[in-house]
Amino acid sequence: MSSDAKDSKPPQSNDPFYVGYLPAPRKHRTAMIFVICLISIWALLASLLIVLSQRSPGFATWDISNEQTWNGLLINTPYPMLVTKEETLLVVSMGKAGAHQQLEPFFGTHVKLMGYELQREGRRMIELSPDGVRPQLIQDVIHIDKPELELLEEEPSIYTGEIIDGKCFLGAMKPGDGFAHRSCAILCLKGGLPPMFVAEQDSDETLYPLIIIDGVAELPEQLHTYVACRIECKARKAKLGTLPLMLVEVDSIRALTNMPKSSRSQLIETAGG
Amino acid sequence: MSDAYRAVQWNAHKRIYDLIIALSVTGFIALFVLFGRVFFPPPENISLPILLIRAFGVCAMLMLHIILIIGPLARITPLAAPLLYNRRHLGVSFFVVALLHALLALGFYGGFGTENPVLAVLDAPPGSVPFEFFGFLALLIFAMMAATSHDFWLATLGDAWWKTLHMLVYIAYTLVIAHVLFGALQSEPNLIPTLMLLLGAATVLSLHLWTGAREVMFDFNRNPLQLEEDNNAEWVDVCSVDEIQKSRAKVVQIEGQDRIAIFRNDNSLSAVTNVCAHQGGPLGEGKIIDGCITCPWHGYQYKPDTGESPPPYTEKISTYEIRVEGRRVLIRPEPHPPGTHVEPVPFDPWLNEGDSE
Amino acid sequence: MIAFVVYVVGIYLAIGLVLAFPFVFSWHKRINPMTQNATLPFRVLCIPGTAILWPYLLIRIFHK
Repeated sequence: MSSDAKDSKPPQSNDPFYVGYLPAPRKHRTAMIFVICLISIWALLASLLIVLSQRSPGFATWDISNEQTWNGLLINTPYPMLVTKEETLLVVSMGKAGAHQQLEPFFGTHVKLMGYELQREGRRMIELSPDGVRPQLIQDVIHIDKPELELLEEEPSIYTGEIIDGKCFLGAMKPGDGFAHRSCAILCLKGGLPPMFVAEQDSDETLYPLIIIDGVAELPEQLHTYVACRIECKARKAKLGTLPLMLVEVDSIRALTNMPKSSRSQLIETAGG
Repeated sequence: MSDAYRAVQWNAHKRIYDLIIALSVTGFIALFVLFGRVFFPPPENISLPILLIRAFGVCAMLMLHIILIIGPLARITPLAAPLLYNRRHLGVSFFVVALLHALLALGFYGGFGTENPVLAVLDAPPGSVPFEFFGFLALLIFAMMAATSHDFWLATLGDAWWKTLHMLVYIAYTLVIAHVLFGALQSEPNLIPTLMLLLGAATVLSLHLWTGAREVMFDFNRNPLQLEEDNNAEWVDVCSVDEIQKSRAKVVQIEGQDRIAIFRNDNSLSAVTNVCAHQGGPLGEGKIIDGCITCPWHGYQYKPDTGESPPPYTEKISTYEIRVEGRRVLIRPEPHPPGTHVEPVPFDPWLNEGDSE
Repeated sequence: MIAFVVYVVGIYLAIGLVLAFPFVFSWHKRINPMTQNATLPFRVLCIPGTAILWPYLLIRIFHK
């Protein structure tokens, strides 16, 4: 046994053999340092490449640090909205829920809303605070008329793009569009958040319209399979106050491939910068 | 090696290995988020939860590729042995990172709504590729592998079952590729992540094919030594004593038998199976250290004469009858039961000029 | 279909988790006597694996 011990301890340098619980031979140590450097460089490069290759989520904000107040007329068709003197704002609740229930007793009246602003390229939305709705005092009310629907197109045109949920897309989740976000978008729409359309080519004043099907904004269950996928549909653009709408013909919705055109991200870049 | 089971059997190397894993993972996540913030400043910022989901996802992908490359790499060069030695901890760390990716995705995509978050994410309406479900299935496989990454499970399930269970990693890997390809990459117009994914898959595949081909060539080039029919299959001439280096082994294959490793301990020879009792490591690529055959994978040791691990360990491997005639080594191809004593056969290394150490 | 799979996996793991406790504190030693003197962290570490492989382990115990 003693000759065995002499023979093999320590491992001869010309015949390096690695055993986990013994000191590592020099050759193995050098190799490991090399491998660790290689992996580190590759990881650094990979993170940089992947971060840089991400598509821009667009210019959108969700100002959760600053509670704001709005005054105006609350309406419920086609979706809970606050009509102020300046604009028409969609109103949603906290979480993935529409504001129908929270606002139920107040529709048709002048109210004061407290909440947080979501905003994308000038398109604004109110996220209502938990107890953020009060009737306006009679003496404070400045009367606002209910806006009328204004058709921008007589004949329907064909639009290509993606159905998304308005809250995520206007800033609650960035990116709030795309296939990876699909389950979230569907959950949001099921919760009563407004469906919007991100068209691949769009003019400035009708960016991200609210989708209206048969006069209402709630997306029917059978259309959920189209959410966050590239689709084509026949629709007429319209406006309610300052809010752009899209009156979609249900039967015209058709799924295209899932791959989006890069034109949209270019559009976002040019629109923002 | 096992005397009483402990949660983790750390030693100096494993500690260094684990420290490197921990530092690399936290460093990578931090760097990814930092880069994300720097290159996409507000109001163009990507939401922090999404950035984290992506960071953990990409980190898990890189770790999975490293894990899958270590195996074939260790077959190509013994210098990769330190990577292989503690691959288990890397595997479990990978699972934790993948799990965090999944939990974040479930929380932010499936949470805050009116439905069960798990079902909201996994059970999306039909008409699309259920890429989340692919990820879920892969995670289940990884969970099973991580949960059984302990010698206790190896002993309880048996070598063959344990190996089979852990071979599922290739199914899980395929599911992961589908998860990424049909998920995140569907909404990214940039081709770089897709190309990186394909490059990774090609590397893993080609390394496995290469080492697989090498194994086949090994068997092909060394035609199994034929048994001579008239000799009652008693003894087979396998090699010359001069082919075996000091403290090392030569691996031979006799037709119809597992590979046999013939070890030279000083000036005597012993023949044992080439398969380690721990995880089936190639003993013949091992070395005699402190008078014991030492497996190149995890350093399990066996005495050359009995095939038993030195006390307090209890592992045993099969031994073979061996004989030296002149310079030729002869082996009786029938293995003895594991742990059977076979007297090592002495020979004179000075008889031939081939060995002049 | 997917919901069904998710529920089945959930129920399976829940049963496994409940069964894991008698296993790691007592039953495992019937299969592998070496767990007799195992440390507490080791027993805790065995819980996930036991929760996943419980049908196999039950068969091993009752087959004896």
